[in-house]
Amino acid sequence: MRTPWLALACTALCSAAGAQDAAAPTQPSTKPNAARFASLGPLAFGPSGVLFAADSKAAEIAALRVPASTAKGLAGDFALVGVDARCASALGVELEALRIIDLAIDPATQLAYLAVARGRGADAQPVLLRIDGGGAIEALEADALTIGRAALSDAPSDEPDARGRSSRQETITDLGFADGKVIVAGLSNAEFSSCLRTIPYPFAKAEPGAGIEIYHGAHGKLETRSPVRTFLAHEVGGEAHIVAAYTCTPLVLIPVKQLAPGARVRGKTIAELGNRNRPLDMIDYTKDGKPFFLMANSSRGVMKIPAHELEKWQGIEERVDGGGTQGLPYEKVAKLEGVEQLDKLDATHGVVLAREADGKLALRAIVLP
Amino acid sequence: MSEPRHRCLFAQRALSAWALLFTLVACARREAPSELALERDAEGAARAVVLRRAVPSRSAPIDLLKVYLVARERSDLALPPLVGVHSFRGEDLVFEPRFGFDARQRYRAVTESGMELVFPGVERDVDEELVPTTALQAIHPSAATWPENVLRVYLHFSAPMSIGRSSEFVRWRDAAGELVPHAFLEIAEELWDPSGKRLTLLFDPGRVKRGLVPHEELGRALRAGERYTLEIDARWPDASGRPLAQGSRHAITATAEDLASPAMDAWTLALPTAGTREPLRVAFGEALDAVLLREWLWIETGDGARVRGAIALEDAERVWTFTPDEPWRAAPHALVANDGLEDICGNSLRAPFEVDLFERVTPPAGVLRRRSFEPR
Repeated sequence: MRTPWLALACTALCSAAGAQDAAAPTQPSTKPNAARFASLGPLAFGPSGVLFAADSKAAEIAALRVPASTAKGLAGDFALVGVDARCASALGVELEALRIIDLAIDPATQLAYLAVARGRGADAQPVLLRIDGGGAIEALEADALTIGRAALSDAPSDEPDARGRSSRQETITDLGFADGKVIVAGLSNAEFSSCLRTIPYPFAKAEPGAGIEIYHGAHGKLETRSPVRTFLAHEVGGEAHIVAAYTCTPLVLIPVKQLAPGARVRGKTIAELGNRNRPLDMIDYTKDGKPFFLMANSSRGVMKIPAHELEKWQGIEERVDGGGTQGLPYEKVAKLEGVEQLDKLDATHGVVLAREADGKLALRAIVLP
Repeated sequence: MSEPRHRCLFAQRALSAWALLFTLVACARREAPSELALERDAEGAARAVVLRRAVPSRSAPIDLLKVYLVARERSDLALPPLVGVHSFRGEDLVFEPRFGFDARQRYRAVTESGMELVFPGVERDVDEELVPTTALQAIHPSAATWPENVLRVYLHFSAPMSIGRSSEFVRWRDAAGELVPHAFLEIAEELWDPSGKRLTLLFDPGRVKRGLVPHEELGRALRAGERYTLEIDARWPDASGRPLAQGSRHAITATAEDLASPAMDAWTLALPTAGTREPLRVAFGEALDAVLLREWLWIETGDGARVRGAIALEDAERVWTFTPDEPWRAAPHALVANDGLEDICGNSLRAPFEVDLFERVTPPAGVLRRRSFEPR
């Protein structure tokens, strides 16, 4: 007679840092009405235990119920060097055939979730990975964990019988949750659009996310249709706002309540953080009772930006000359180098995906500066 | 020394009566030693690794048998084994990788007792697959002159490409051959079509926009009158990891900026003859977006039904032709455009790319515009 553990199909769990292997509960492989992910990521945590994941190829946002885990979350001294090589190895591909699309930390468990693509091309397999405090990497069944999907309204109503499938596609560049709404930033591979979409959660059927055009009225009188690169939800003056960072690098404040479908919203530019720069990721946190933003950039390092009483800042309405900065001051955090992605871990720590001096990609906990 | 006997000795030294009994039973039952084997499908692709006669054992299945990728580049990290499912088939332990074995990879199966089996994902000579065949087929805009505020470039490939690596292999050089830095907007996931064969590159709107800070310091990536080269590096891997068949260079001369919306009324229509399948020819007087021209411009009959037919682009996207499947009827028709249709500088029928917020209000997107015509 086989002992019970012999009958267990054992685990998509493997040890990455010499941590003790443990059998994880096997997820059901299928679930009625659970669509398959065509692509996965970016990610954002919403209400307790719900993980939102963009599926750009399907033009949908999925809500997933993350499975319970007995594993410990990431601690303040967590470091997993070569996280991309470890994930690639676990998924059986060379490092160059693995793309990490996004990182999200579950605020309830401090477990790290990575959206990755296994493969090089458009047919790469989307995989949701979970990493625990011991560095063990677990491959989750994202399809089976899906509890709802919402379509992004992008299909033009004017193509009643267009032949074949459209080759237009939007890549979702960032995802957030605020004030009961999933907020989605994207960029099209054809027509130029720089709109945000909002989708109320729980998802209602037949209520696709509607586009909102955002203007940030800086740069003389000209509206800028530069795309939102990254954003976060942040409370300003008791109201939910999003703080959106654009390429080259204005920081714009937009009240969430104005993000109604079809609205044209003019955001307030509260900072110009310098040119030749691409904002990569952003979090907000509180230190010594004061709010701050921490923003990772392509060429200007990690910026710590005081976010105290933002409602009192005047919007920047004039052209900022000389390639300089204006508005909110910021401080460059010199010790944080090569940071590509950021998320909050707890009240005093964050987690970064950062390229180390030796070229290795590390998943590390940091003390919030 | 074989592993079962080694285990027996170890147990005796431990002087544990229970362990001794258990191990003796285990050894007694094991008439033949374990054996590591591979299961392949009919095409020769590895499907599962089997540890024959794996039971009984006190170890968990995940410890009894692990399968690792043999990476082409060695790593100094202790890399984890493949994720997958361990299951028992009688006394045999079977490991099936969650994501399958890849044809062109090699793997190493290792048992707890030290047995090892190295195998390729597919049992055949794969070297011939590494011959590059993927080619860059077209670039849009296809003209040799681009306005200095051109917004978008499409690269069309003959086969699916790797994603996320364009910034390593696409370069924009000025007349002196110097690299123009940050010319294209860097987007981690890039803007591919669903097939992975067409990449959209955006000249960074932050540079193209008048009034934005970097424009003042960096200027546009193109300046009227100057010559540039779009360089595609042959080392760019396609989706199967093979490089391109060849690299390519495309010389472009920049012309004056185009800040105006295309005007549908200004287009020239060369009307077809009723009763024939002659193409309708629409000349825009400027180049429009090659992708949008195939999706957001079409023909309807007087009652609003879409006419079926074939679209072709001529004269470097300055001319759109439509050849109907059935002969034209001598009746009113309409050329219909989604007003999101753009020229190559991002100026749409609805609004120029650069909008003065204080003077203009743009209507919502997706409004259809019509221009009536009747075949001769």
